[in-house]
Amino acid sequence: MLTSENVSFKYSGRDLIDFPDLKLDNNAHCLILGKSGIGKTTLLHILAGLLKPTSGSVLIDDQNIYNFTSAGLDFFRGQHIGLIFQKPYFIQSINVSKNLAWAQQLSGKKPEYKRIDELLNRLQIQKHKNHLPSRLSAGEQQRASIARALVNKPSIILADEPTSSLDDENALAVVNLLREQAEQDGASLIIVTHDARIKEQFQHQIKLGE
Amino acid sequence: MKLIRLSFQNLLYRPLNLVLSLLLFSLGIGLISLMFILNKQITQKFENNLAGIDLIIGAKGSPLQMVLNGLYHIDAPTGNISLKDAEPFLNPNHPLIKKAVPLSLGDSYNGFRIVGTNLDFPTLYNATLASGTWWQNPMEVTIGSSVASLYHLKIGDTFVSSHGLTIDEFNQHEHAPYSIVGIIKSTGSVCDQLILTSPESIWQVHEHTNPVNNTIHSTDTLVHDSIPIDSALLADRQITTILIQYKSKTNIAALNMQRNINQNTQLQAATPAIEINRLFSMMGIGFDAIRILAWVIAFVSGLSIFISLYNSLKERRNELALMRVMGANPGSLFSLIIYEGLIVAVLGFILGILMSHLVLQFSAEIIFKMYKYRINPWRFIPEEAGLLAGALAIGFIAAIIPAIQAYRTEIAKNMNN
Repeated sequence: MLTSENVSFKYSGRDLIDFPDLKLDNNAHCLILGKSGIGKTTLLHILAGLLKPTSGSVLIDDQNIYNFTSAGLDFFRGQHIGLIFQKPYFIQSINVSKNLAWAQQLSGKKPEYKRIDELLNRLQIQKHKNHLPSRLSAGEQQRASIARALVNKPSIILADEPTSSLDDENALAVVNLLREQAEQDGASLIIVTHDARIKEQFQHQIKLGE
Repeated sequence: MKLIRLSFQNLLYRPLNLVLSLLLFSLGIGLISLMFILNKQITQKFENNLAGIDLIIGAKGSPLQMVLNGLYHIDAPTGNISLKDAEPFLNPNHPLIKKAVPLSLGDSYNGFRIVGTNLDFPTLYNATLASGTWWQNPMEVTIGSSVASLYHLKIGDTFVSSHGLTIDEFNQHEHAPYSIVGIIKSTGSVCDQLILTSPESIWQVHEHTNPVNNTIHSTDTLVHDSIPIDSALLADRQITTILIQYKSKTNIAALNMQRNINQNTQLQAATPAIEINRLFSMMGIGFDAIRILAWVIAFVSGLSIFISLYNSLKERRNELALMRVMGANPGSLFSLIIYEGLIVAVLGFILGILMSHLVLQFSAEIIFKMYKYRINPWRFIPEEAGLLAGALAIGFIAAIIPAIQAYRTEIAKNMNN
């Protein structure tokens, strides 16, 4: 469960941005829409505990995440929040399976290779398990990064423009995949996008800047 | 630690960077360690072979050459002195001299020097017999352990000597073969590389030739390099040098003896320790130059580690931010980069030490052929442990700026596409 209240953020030398309050139950999905530069990614980073808001609070699973110490927040984020970015990022020097294992280790868990294999199967990239990330195609990389976001069974998944670099077909496929996978693991899903192609897919939509 | 493995993987992911850093680093370490080892082993060899000799007396010439010839057997004699001139110093009742050992030098067998001397000589090096006996009659020899093992010589074998210290097929004393009566136990000193005999043997070898023809005879003296010898002196018996131990090293009269000899006689006296120190200080300039070069290489290799880490960090900004997203704290990222520097340092150190000892292994043969000195290529010295500390320090310092940058990785900025 995610709740945000009275969140605002001010980049130095620019106007204060006020964000609408959010409340998202477990297993609920939501799309955050808005034009470029309106602060979508800023909001996502605030929700993910990557950027401390100027004011307001963010509660995930009833914990105010900005009450943590910096290291404590890193730890909490690793365990409870799955993040997917516009471009898929990896630790380039180790294979796909190890990347997922490190996602578990860095959040203080032991690597569970059963869970990793299961996820890679679900996302149909099992054959790339032992390949370096750079050997995967763009679509496969995006799927591998979804697998990584899911590996710790997070309660919330945040995706930042996950479809912007994909064609129509793949964009829809990725969104469906995200929703499907989030549902399978009982996680809430927030997608930040300006991509009109996926608007119809979500009922719960929040428009920024209106 | 899992992080160290990741650091290692990161290094392997950029093999060219790794190879360049390792190459430079091991080159620096290797050169420095080579300096340390050679310096130490050569200095030790020279100091061991001083054998408590306080003064060396010989023909006038270069005092350093006289010492290198008389004590270390790696240079040609400055000339010979007549036994008559040497006699006073050989007197066992001399008030200042504890021990005086005459040497007749000049010939060799396969590069090993033949020394005509008395039985005091082996006692200078605490040499004892491994088998057989000491020489008694002319043309009998007792040989050092290296001589015996290199040419598989045993008691009863015979050989002929040749002029100078080099092997010269055309200049051999074939008429007068030596026979081996004893083999000396290894002493770790120059004694291992010598063939000991009586001075009479040397005289016998050189006096046989054409007594009617003085010109040929004069080329056949003990001296092959310098100083033409007055043929009148040839009638006289000659020796090359005398090694002297004082009764008291602090006796003023003994200390004045050197100056007296040099000023008032046809002989030359020199203090081996002083000459060797002079040699070291001359070699030291060369060593210093190489040492500076080695440190420059070490510095450049540190710089190359820094540059390659710094560059790879630029490419890895997103990766590090991603690790933060996955739960890594800034301290872990700092450690990750420091480990990369340290891993290069440790690997470079190991490679460098290996390189220096391999170079020693190969040059040991050359050094042995040239100077008949055995260096031990696989003896490790404490300075090398110090070098490890230095290597780790360089690795750490080279990594610290990139590590601080990694520590400061801001996730939001770097994940903002």
